[in-house]
Amino acid sequence: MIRNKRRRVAGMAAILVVAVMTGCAGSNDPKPSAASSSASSSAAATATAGASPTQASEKEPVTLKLSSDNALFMATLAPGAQHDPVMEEIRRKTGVTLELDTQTDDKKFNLMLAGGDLPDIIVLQNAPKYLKQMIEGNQVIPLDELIEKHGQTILKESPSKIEISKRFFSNGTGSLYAIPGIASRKGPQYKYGNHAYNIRWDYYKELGFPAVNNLDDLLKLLADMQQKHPTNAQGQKVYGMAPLFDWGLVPYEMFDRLFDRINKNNLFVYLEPGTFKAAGGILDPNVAYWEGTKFYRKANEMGVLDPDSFTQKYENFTEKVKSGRVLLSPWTWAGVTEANAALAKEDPLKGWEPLPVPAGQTVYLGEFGENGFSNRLIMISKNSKHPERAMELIDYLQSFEGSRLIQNGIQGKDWDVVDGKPQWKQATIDAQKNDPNFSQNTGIGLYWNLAGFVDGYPDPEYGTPINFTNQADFWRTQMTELDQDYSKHYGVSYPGELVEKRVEAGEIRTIYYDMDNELGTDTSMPDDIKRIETKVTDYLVRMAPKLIYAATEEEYASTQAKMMDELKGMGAQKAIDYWMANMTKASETYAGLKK
Amino acid sequence: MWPGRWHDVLFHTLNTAFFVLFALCCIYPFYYILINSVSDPLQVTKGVYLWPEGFNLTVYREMLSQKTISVSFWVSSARAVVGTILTVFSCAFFSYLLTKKEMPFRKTVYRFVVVTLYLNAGLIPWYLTMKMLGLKNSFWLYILPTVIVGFFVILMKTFIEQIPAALEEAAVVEGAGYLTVFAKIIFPVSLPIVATITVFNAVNQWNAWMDNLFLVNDPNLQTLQLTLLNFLKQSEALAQETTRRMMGNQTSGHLISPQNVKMAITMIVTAPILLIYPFMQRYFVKGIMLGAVKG
Repeated sequence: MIRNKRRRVAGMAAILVVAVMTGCAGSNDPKPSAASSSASSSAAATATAGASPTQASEKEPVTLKLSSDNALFMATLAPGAQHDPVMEEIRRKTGVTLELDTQTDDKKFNLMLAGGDLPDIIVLQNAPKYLKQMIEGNQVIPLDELIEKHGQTILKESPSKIEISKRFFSNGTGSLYAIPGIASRKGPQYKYGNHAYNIRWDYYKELGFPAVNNLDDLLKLLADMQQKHPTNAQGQKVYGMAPLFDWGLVPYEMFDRLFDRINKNNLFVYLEPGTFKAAGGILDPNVAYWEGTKFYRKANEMGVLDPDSFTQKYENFTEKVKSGRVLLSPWTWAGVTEANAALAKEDPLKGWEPLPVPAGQTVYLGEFGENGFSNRLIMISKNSKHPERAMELIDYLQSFEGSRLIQNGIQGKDWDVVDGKPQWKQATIDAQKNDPNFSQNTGIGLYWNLAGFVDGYPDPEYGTPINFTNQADFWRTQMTELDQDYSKHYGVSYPGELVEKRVEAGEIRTIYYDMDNELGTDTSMPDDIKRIETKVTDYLVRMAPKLIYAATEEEYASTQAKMMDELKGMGAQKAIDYWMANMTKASETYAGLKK
Repeated sequence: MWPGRWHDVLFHTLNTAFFVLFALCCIYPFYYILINSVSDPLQVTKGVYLWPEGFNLTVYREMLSQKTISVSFWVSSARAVVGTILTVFSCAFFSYLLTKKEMPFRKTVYRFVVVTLYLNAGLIPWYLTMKMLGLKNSFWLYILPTVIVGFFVILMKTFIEQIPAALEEAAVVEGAGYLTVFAKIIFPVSLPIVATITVFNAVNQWNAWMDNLFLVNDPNLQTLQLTLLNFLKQSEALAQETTRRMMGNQTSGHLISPQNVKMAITMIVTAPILLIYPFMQRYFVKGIMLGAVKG
């Protein structure tokens, strides 16, 4: 009886286990939903292809997957195949349905790597961390033969990219594993509004355009503005500035960039523009951290520093910009553009513009790399069943034609050639201004990170920047009343021209970082240096409030002296030496490349 | 009703005031999210604190009409419902079997289950196992790995053990088998603990997103939580140099979704699970107590 009972209990337990296992096994079958969606998309591709046979891709439709180890797209997209016009066009041209992993994440990438589970195409951003592992673990395939057969456009248009990749991104094997994307060249900008002193233009005007020749003048200007406008329309207190201390060392970047130094936050070893030779280091009292804390201390003393600065998040900051609670923003994308749109409805002459930088300071243009970026390495995984089709797709995306499509949309629909010059259509321009879902609806700009050439890179076919909106002729037609007012005041035809004129006159200089200088960097940072750097960075972030809230200059100096001793005790010198040697080597490699 | 002495009155007044304040502190964040989600976007950027400003439901209408959101809403609901039913049933039945002396190796099996509470293989082994079980890009990934949960099994087993044996014996004498005993006696008698497990599990299922992020890339299987996370993560991503470079180089672009969109998603995500508590609460408290005392 008992044995019988026992058997029945065991049997039931077994049923429970089997039920669970069947559930697992059952899921091996392809899901109808996913299968049907990809089937329908390839059907759609074939249908469109059939509609215009002249340009149709006659290749068999395939589906390829793409992922990365970090954020890659310009908007929140649903994962999987995309159906915006630009992606449809890519599908039509290449016959490839690209399924995107839009929830890219470093930890997830690590798991995929460990599981040998990489998708067909990978856009690697953190090369120092993963490149070696991927090549040594045979997770990605060499592209030397594939590119000969299926990547002729890249070979023709970007031969130097290939050479550089073989030399620097092959883990010493000399083979081609990666195509570095988003090649760019510095060019004129509409406003030079990033890494700049963006202020309320209407308030500046109200004060009679006082001259700002140095940082003290800037503080005085902010204090005067604050005095004139102590509260916003809602009665909330207004402050001159609210630096984003939540972002660690970011609030100190401008003290390099505006003062003729290329910012590198590795213990504040900075680079000299042009040659990229290393100098500085946190033990030097003139580097950005100390300059920055001194400036913020003075701001606090004058009452223009928002006491909320140390606790606010990015959202709080942009809200302050938009609601007029702060009077300085370093980037146009941090609330300034939206604030301008909202203020224009009240009064077209209200809004934010970049304050011309004082003579002698520098305008930082950004990072550019003619040979692509080392943090956009496009690779094909060994798991790909269609490596040749993946190569063809990469060949298309990385070509001038593909890059043009990604940034300007479809010829005839979004842009046209007028008098030999490519131009966005009026409808496209209007949609960009008025449609909040412009990118998702048109696909324009969404896949910027997959393009071979971006922004100011000259398009050889038309002789204009590859992003057709990146030129003065276009800007002149796009000016808001506020921009016109600003330009009129300075006697220029669009805001950015002021910077160009001043550079010509020798008043100011522009500086930029050439990503080719990254090529010679030693990416395997020793563990002890890593430890020191983390410790020092944490310490600097933690001590910043103490320096900034120092009541007097003497108190600041004594805190700084104490900190210098502490930093020495932490071994900061050793890490500085490491970075000096590393960056010096990089600049030598760079000099060799440019010969 | 009121106690006669003044300090009693004072005590009650302070007590009530304290708890009303406390309750307000708990409720206000939800209220804040609610009024911000139904206010005019422009007003939200300026700060909305007490009442909705420029009341409109456009965000909700837009959000719910977006295919991504509505699909992920159903996926999350399905995983919460199906997952909870399966987990509750499996844990209950499994625990019942563990209480049967006739079950072979029951102590060893039980110990293996309990061990999972303390030991965890880590992310990579978990990922590989799930992949090998064929759960990648499958809805069952959300359900099967948590069908048996050690913690629930302990709660359940402890509860079943304290049900008087006479109940079961009486049924057996009448000719009931294990299934009948479980279905007609054990399960109905264990309702308090079943309710507890239901609430725990439904909340866990509703809030889960890691499995989705790591193993599911099918747009038709996205959970609401991950969709929300993606919206919220945008601003965090900006703290990284790479993203800022990306934005700095772009001439235009609306990367960051407005504050009231985030608030609306938060509302959509929290509201359904909030509704579970009131219905389950009476069982919930009782269940926890019973399990705890006899544990």
